[in-house]
Amino acid sequence: MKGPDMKKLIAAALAAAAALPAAASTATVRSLCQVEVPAEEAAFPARRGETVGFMKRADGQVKVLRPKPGGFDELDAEVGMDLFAADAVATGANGAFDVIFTDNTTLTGVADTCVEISTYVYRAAEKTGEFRMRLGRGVVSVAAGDVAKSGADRMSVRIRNDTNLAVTGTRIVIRAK
Amino acid sequence: MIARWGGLSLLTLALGACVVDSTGRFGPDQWDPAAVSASLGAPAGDPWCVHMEKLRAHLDGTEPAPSDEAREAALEVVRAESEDPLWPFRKALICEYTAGAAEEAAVFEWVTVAQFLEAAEAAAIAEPDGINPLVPVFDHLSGGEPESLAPVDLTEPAYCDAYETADLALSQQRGGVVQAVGFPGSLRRAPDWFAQIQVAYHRWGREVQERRRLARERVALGDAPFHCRRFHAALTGSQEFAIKDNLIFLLPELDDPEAAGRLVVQDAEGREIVLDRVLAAAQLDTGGTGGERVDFFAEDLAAAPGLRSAVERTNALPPPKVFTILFGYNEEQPLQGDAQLPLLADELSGRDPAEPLRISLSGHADCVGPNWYNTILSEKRAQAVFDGTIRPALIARGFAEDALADPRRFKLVGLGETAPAVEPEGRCAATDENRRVIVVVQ
Repeated sequence: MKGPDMKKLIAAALAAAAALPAAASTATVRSLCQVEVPAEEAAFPARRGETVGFMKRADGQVKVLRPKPGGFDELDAEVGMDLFAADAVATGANGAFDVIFTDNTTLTGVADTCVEISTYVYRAAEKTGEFRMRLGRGVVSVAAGDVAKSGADRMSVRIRNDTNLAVTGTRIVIRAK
Repeated sequence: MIARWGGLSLLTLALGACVVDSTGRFGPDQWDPAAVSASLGAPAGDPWCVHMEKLRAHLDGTEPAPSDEAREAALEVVRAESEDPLWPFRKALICEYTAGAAEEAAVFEWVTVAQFLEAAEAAAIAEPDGINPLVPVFDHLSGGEPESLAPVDLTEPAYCDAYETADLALSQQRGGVVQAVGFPGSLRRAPDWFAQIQVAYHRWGREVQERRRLARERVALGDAPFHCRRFHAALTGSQEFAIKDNLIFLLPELDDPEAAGRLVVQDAEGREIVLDRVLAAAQLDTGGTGGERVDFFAEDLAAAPGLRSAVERTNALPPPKVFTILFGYNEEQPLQGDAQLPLLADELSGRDPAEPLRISLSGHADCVGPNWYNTILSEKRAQAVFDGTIRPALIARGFAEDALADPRRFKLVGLGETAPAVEPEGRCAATDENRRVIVVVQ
């Protein structure tokens, strides 16, 4: 995605996020990755919990979209930065990134990709938790970590509403348009 | 061929005899297309050839389409015949070319008969280096390397309006094997349709060589020669085997190229597709509906830059590593000769100081003794591994002291006896496996 397109996307996402409280009463809203989702699934500014992972590598144009009341922050992704639940990572035409989560899940994204961390809970001592992602567009590769390995319903990726990819300990590539 | 011309037939009969004599590929007893077909592995009544016959009739508009079940059944049989993944495609070519030769033989077009039988023979040769049979066939048709690879819109119905157009389109096919419909793996996914495309093209080229070029104004679908129409119909039919917008497939596990995990894909209509082997794939329509399992091949990956770059990138990412260091009873230092310690040191010795390395250490104790004591003991164990192995290894690599003091990057916790590796049976015991430090290097 070229610069202006990326800006357009960001502006649209900002407008959508700003409209979030008003839209909450309607059936759907647009998520950070510009996917129409049921209002109750939208990424609300989460309580800043523990770090869920970090940016292991980032090349080219990579943004971290972080919800906040009334909208979201758009941060330039930096190598080593912490990520939190409800963040989204978006890339431009030359962007690519790798994230490693605390449960050892790895997430790789390439150009023109947007992926949201919808839910992330990891109980390290028990090696279990809950991990939900949504791929708005683009291509990601996921190598499952402890959460996925702890049970068939623990980790899932959505690419459209009503779809569900239940991951149990594997390496996958997903493309969504 | 259309508009048979007796004079030309006599001429080509003589030419055909020369071709046969000069190549020596077909002796006088090998002019029977059915016999050639049988000698190439496709005897009369072969289920895959019968399927091809039905598909051809469907594309000619004289029969209903073969059912999916019948196609799958025939495909299953032909796939079981050879480990060569392209065998179904090659055998489909054999069936089609020998069928074409039989049609020509019926009206004494001997040059064409010879050419089609040669094409069938070429299709039967499995190329050990992976070259597919399209190449020799196209060489035969065009008489050498194409001069231009200019793109041609293969979906344009007027593609048949000139030999040059057909030749260009063929050239384009040569490069990437039916690029027009997207993915090279289509050749393995829909071998019958793509064999139809190739043979129909070949027949069109043959006809033009015989100077039976149609006037442009006559070339519209419905008025085109049957093989030209068949080409177009096969091309359209093959589109359904193209990869859809939403695609999911499995990669091999890092430590075993033959093994894959398990993924259950549920589409928007509640359909479930279970993927459990390497390159097993599912695809969904744009709206998340129409989920289906598909065959996905390495060739598909090579042809799709986005998919390929994701795979290359994820393969190049050092995977998180986990080490378990064991301790003696009530000991703060690791066991002498612990097998994992040198592996941990070795792993760290290859790390780049510029890399955003993160390491977490969780210390554990067995259940003997009070909780508070075991918590302190487990913290000391984590600290001992950090100070005794991790710190010196990273300092030697050039990591800065202040980086090592960053608690976001280097996290030490003591979990005491709360998370045992082995649950004690009944009464508490000094279980060796529970006295450990788990080191996760990310």
